[in-house]
Amino acid sequence: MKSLSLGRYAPFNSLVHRLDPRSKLLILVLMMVAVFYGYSSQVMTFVMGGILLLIIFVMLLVSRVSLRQLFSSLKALWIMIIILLLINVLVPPLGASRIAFSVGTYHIFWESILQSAKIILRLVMMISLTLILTATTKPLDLTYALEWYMYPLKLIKFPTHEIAMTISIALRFIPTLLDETMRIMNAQASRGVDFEHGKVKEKIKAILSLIVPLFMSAFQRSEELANAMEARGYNPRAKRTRYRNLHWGGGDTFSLLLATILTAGVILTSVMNWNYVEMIFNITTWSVGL
Amino acid sequence: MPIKYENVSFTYNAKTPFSYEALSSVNLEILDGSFTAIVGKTGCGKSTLIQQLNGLLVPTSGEVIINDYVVAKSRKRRTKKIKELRKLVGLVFQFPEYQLFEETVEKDVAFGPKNFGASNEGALKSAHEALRLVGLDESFYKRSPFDLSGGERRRVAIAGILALNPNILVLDEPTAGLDPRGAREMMALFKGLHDNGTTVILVTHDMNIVLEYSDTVIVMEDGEVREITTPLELFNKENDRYSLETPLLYKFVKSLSDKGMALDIRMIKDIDSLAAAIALAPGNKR
Repeated sequence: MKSLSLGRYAPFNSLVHRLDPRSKLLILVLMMVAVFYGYSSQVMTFVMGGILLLIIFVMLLVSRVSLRQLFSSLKALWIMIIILLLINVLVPPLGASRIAFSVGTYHIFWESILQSAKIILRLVMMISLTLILTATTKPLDLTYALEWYMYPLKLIKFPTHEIAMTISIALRFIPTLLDETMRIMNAQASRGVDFEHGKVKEKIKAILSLIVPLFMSAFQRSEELANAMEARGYNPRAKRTRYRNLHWGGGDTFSLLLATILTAGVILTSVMNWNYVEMIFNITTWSVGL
Repeated sequence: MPIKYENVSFTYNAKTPFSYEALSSVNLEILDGSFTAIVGKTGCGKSTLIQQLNGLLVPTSGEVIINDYVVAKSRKRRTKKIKELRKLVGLVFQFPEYQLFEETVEKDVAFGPKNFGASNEGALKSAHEALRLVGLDESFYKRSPFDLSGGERRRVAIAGILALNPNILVLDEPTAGLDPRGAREMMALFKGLHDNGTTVILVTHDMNIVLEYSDTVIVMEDGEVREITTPLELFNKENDRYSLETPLLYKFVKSLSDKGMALDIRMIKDIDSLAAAIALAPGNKR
């Protein structure tokens, strides 16, 4: 495989790597909630965003996620940024009043630009968080965690094991199919296919020459896998034990506690309409007044 | 002009935790019109080596020179027209039957020539010629490649490369998974192309094929070229340093020698020469 796929597990032994996948998954959900809360004013949004970004940055460093990889994946966000700006400029947010500049008679509001910036900030944080989870957790462990969380659903006869199995098989085949994609791309490139340049019609043909063989082999693989599972007497309803058990340690409780406090703080700030900027500002003016 | 590897190293996923050096300072030369076999254990860098021949992989350091084309990292040195190089060097991957995608056999084979700018009729003409070479007649032209047997699909895929009329044909285990007869026919096809002046480079694990067809053998181990020799010399050495299987013919000859028949092993290359040597061996009644 030529390039690393985004969010591939990186076998280090960091603090974050050693955490239980269940706690990591829950922390991710909590942090996501924190990232998506809104605040009373634009200034507060960016102050809180900055604080969260800083925390996430520290987390990235601790989990030894390659920042190079993160930035290369953020590069693809450029298109998103342009589209977002375009939408926000064409359809300004409600109550937009401050004009940044005008193109002819058309006004472009500060609120449009800030709104886009807010969404980009959230996207960056979301991607970083997900990257931390997938880069530090083996896909299979993640599936186990998911299955564990779905356990209560078993009571209503929800096929949790089957779903976990499906997910883990899907995860298992991502690298295989990526390799296969590379292989077919190379084979077609040897037949003169140019995947990067060329006219639209040629590009469609190029993609077709990749997709058709890829689907063929994916179907074939799934059939072979199904047969292999049948041959080994796989029964999804059977009670089964596990080779690797998840282990919840003190570090997990501690990290989860930290994440909970952080999220609770964020929610409180948002619900109570606290404005730290004004508070600090008031204190300083007050002390200066003294 | 021969093919030349100059100090070629290649590292997969350089500068990441998955970094893996597949080739380290490879130097070699492959002569025009030769039939070269590349042998070595799985994972020794054979496939990496041949993928540099048409610029699919670019050496991390060093360069590969094919005629006037240069595959190298340096923007100054390397050939801009990589597509021309790909027409010159036909590369057949392992299990090439998985690259088929068109509705009909003839369209699939014509796909390559068309990519290189041939007209519709021109491409079909090359396709028909290539299909004739691999032994598939007109009845196959309009069939779907997905309805064919594994062996037939392999032929179609190889025809897809032959239709480009490459001067250098590179094959990665073309006989893997074929029945013995299919494998023989396949090798006969490559021999025919070689006799007509095509340079053939073949990656294989089958030492019988190496002995019978190749004139040069490149032995690889752990990403390095260990030896460039002829098959006769390689298999005449007693040691099996590279843990290569001895060809059946040589096993037989060695067994005969062990049992006391004096044979000049240097004279034996195939069944005919073996039979001649046995007939001439001293002590044989004539």
